[in-house]
Amino acid sequence: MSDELDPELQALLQAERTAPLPGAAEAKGAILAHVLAASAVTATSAAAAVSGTSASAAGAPTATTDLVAKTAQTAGQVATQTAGTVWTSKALILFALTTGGIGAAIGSGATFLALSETTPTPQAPTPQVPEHQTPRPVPALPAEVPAEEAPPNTTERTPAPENESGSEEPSTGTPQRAHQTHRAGMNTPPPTASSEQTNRDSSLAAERTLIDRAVAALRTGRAQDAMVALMAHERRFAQSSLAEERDLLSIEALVQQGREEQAQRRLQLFERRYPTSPRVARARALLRRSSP
Amino acid sequence: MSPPAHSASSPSFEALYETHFDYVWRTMLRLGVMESAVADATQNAFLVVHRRLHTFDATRPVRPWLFGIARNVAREERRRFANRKEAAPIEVGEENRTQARLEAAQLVRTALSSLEEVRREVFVLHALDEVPMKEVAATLQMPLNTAYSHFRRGREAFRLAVRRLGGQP
Repeated sequence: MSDELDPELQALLQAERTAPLPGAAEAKGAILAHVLAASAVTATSAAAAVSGTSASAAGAPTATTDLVAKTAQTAGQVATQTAGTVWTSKALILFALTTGGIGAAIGSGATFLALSETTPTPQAPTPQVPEHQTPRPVPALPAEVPAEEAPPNTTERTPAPENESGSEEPSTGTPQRAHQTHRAGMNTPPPTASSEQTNRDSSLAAERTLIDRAVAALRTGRAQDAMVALMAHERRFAQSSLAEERDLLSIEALVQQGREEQAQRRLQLFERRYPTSPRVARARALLRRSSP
Repeated sequence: MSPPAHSASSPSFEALYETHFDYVWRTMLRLGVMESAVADATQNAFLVVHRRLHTFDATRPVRPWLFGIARNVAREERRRFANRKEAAPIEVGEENRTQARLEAAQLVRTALSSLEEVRREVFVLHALDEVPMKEVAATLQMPLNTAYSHFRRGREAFRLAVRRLGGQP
């Protein structure tokens, strides 16, 4: 269990368990509409396709039949409306990808998150999107049937080869899958000089924000939060002009957490990496202060 | 383990959807589905849930069952885009705890992505979902000892990955 893990790893896992899920709340309604509509269609036309018994027909609880029928009728509407909202968040990401680079991409995801937390139905201004990114509802009707049989009733761990529909792409008129558009956006960045400059600027700004957050966390005694920010910085900007500052802060965070041994190792690394830096003295002082 | 009949005690699809939507969504992320595909993957998982609800044994915990479905969908998704690289998240917002959790979540998921597939599944179920190892073994259809072995190796790999990602010694 998680208690077999180091405390800091446990803290990480706990943060993951409670982290917000950007986009989930907005997608929830549309996905339900699609699932119910698709299941209704399947139940009436192709129930036997499912393995074993005619699971779809039998599996649709009668209590939901009305809802299914109703939803089937209005699914188009609902999907357009709700999935349009979903799409908006993705459009933000795409927009960021094409203007601000990878960094700003999730930045906009985070921005969107912030938006969605404060404004439940983000009918946000739809950003300009590259022409090949036409808005479309995200969750398509199931032109492809997902990996089918689930445990506990199957022994086979390799996914069942899809039936013929499994390899099909959505048919004409059916919205494509979101990640395809996403990838398309990533594969065709407009490499203009100004956008590169923007990339650099936003990248540096993102770096600075992480470092600032770590500093703020350390000042208020939240070493764990500082560590998370610093780890994120190191992961993304391993070679950075702010690396030295980050590494010093990491030592401080470790000291603050009472992890002297690791702090000591970080210090040695720091001394090797930046032998002439004036920060070496500060780093040593941090550890001296912490030692009795 | 034998598939029960659709019984009165089985949860309704809507109730299940309402309660466990976030769980399925989160599981997709844990299992390496990229953020831009997670809505599709979640939808596909619930299509299967809807279709197979009558096979669910209501005497057993529901999450491992959902996990099994999500796992299959996630595998399919990953196979489709085997060489994708998920963009690393970056914040632009103000400093706050929500952001810190998002960062941590990203770190955890990136570390998870370096685990071998089965080890990751065992690790996610046991360490993150806190499913007892016996149930993990049943869900993933493996002997208990094998599950433990996968967990130990997965845990070690996860620990190393976090350190590597975080640059800790």
